[in-house]
Amino acid sequence: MTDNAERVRRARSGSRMMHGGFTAAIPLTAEERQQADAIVDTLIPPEEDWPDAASLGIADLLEVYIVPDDEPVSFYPHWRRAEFSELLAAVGGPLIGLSLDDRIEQLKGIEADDAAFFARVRDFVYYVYYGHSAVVKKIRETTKHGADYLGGGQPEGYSDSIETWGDRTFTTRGAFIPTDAVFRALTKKEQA
Amino acid sequence: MSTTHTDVLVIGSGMGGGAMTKRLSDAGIKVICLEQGDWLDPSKDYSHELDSWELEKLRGWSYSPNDRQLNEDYPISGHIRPYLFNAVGGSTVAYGGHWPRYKPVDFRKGTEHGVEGTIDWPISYEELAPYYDINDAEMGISGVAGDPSYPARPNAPRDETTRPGKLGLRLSEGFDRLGWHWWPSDNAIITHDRDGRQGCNECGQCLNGCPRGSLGGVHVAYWPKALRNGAELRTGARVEKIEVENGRATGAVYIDLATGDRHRVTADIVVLSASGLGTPRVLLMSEQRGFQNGLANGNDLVGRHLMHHSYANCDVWFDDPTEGFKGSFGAPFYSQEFYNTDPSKNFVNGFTMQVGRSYGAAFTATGSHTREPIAWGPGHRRRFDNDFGNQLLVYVLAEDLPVYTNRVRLDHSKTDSSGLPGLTVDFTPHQNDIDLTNYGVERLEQVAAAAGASRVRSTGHQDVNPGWHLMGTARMGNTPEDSTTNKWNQSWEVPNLFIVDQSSLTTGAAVNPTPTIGALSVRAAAYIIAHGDKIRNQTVTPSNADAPDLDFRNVKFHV
Repeated sequence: MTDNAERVRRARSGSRMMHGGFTAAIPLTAEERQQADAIVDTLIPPEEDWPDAASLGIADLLEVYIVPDDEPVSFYPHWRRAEFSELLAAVGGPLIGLSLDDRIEQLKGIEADDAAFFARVRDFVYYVYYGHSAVVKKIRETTKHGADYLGGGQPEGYSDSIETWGDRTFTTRGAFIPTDAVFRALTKKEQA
Repeated sequence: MSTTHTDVLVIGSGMGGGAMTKRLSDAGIKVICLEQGDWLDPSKDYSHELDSWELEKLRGWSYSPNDRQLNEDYPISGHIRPYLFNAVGGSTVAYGGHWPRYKPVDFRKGTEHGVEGTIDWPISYEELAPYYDINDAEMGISGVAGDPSYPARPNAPRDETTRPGKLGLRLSEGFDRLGWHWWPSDNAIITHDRDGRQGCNECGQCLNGCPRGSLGGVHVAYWPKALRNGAELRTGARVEKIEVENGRATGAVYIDLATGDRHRVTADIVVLSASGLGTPRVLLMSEQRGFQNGLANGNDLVGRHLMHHSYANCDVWFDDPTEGFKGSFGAPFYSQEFYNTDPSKNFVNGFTMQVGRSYGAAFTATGSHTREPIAWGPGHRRRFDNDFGNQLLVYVLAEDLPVYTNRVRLDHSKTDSSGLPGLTVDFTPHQNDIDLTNYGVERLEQVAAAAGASRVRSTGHQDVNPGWHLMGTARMGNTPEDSTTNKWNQSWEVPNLFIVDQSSLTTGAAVNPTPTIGALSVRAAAYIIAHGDKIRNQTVTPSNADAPDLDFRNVKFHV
């Protein structure tokens, strides 16, 4: 556990809660971005007019959450920079230049070999992808039930678009026993 | 080491400690409160404007101190998912704000069934009711008066309720079709501006805290008033030990987290309100001459009888929109149709069914509340579209039994930033609680079908339950043999040491505990105000029968 003032210095938000990622995050190299995009585009293929990861800029958001190697605190996703670089090379590297079908087969193999590791990769991609502003905008524009979705909900909030109880009537069902009137409820064992 | 003297020393600034400090300082009593955490700054500490807010919930805003790893946190291991905050306001800085009271029957579970040695509370609902009212007024509550399953509460003011949205309107129809009880929830969420706090705008991020002050955190509801009264709050102040001399608490030694220096605060009365885990930790760390097993722990009950409720989640999808991403997380409504023990069943106790929201897009993709992620690969976007914005959560919050062997202990193998021991938890779910919870899951699925759900997915009873509600580890009781405190929250072994937080809850009921913690704290404060002179001279903690009384029928309502 580190001194909170030090955490403030290391956070992009200048908050000890460290939201926004790390000030000292090391940008992905061009090769690493390609590998990251290949992973994202295989897990969440660019279908039905949704752009691919590179067009959306997913890697820009992803890289700020990778834990710098000298960072004393390990936050989710708990991958340090060097380790993540190895991960990209191992998982994303072989995907480069393959067709979608072949990339899927490649990832299925990793999933079969180490389901827990694969789940970590998948969930991190999902959290970054669906937390990206370009994706939030796309959700608003294209999904069946997400037209009002704001992503980060402040400062607007949803009070202008959410229903009240209106004239709904509430139940008349329900009763209580005053404390001193509580009695023994014989358990099945006691009844026997 | 510096030494300061005060009338009352309060340890912890959450629901118990914040309410205690404010109410005592209202009466002109000099109070110093020690809090190991710090203030949250609305201008920079919240992530509500970020589209990646759901990812932030896993980082610095994680509910778990093991993930946050802040300087003020302490490590917690064992069979538990610990969810708590060490900050001004305690765990009320980020919670649902759902605000149900205990029911009268909850105070007599020993009489009702006594399973696993469950004991009665030494007080009744009726004795606590006026203090619930006061605490509600202090915190700021929204809701609808008139739930027939509770005693009337005419003195408890309510803002108009938070909004149910399509989600609440839809599922409540299912309850109506089955003829089951339901009622709009009380929530510690204001819907109108007051005291520098803004009314809720339904952003849905209550569990990341609330930069508007709409969510009734103790840091916005109680602390500004307490500080105006002249109470002193020392942040970054980690208590190492409560000191005792000649059978009476003399104060505490704390570590200033900024400098590492130790300081002593002496007091006529000490109030410990450090949470269901933090309180036993401080008591066990306060081992000293005459208290070799930890303070107030001659009967070896400190840390035992840990309860945290049993949960089961049910994700429910519909063909039409529910827009579960909208709306405050405080429950739109609840049902207590199955709250009471049913003697025809193989288990005792009951549960509340609470309705919850969906969070955002990332939470949907990673599996909603039942944590089964949307499949990757071709078709992912279509599947996401089918799952987003048309889902809701309904869950079982079941009473769990106070089991002697479910306990928290010091863990000297893991230490906090000051080198003090962490905690570890031993917890085995009781078969009664498993059966009760799984019965509840069947009822969830029944009501989902009645509401016209197109798809339902349930967790069943969860072996490692979320540890939001950490209760019973220094419980209030009837005798020095069955509990840690008497009915006024006075520890049996040290008469001027009060314990007022979730650790002092005798049983857990099937509701969120925060309103009850606040009510107990307001009541204990009234007791100290009324009988402080007697308490200062006590060398033995009086029995419940012999303790000077307060007549609950004559409580003056003032806020």
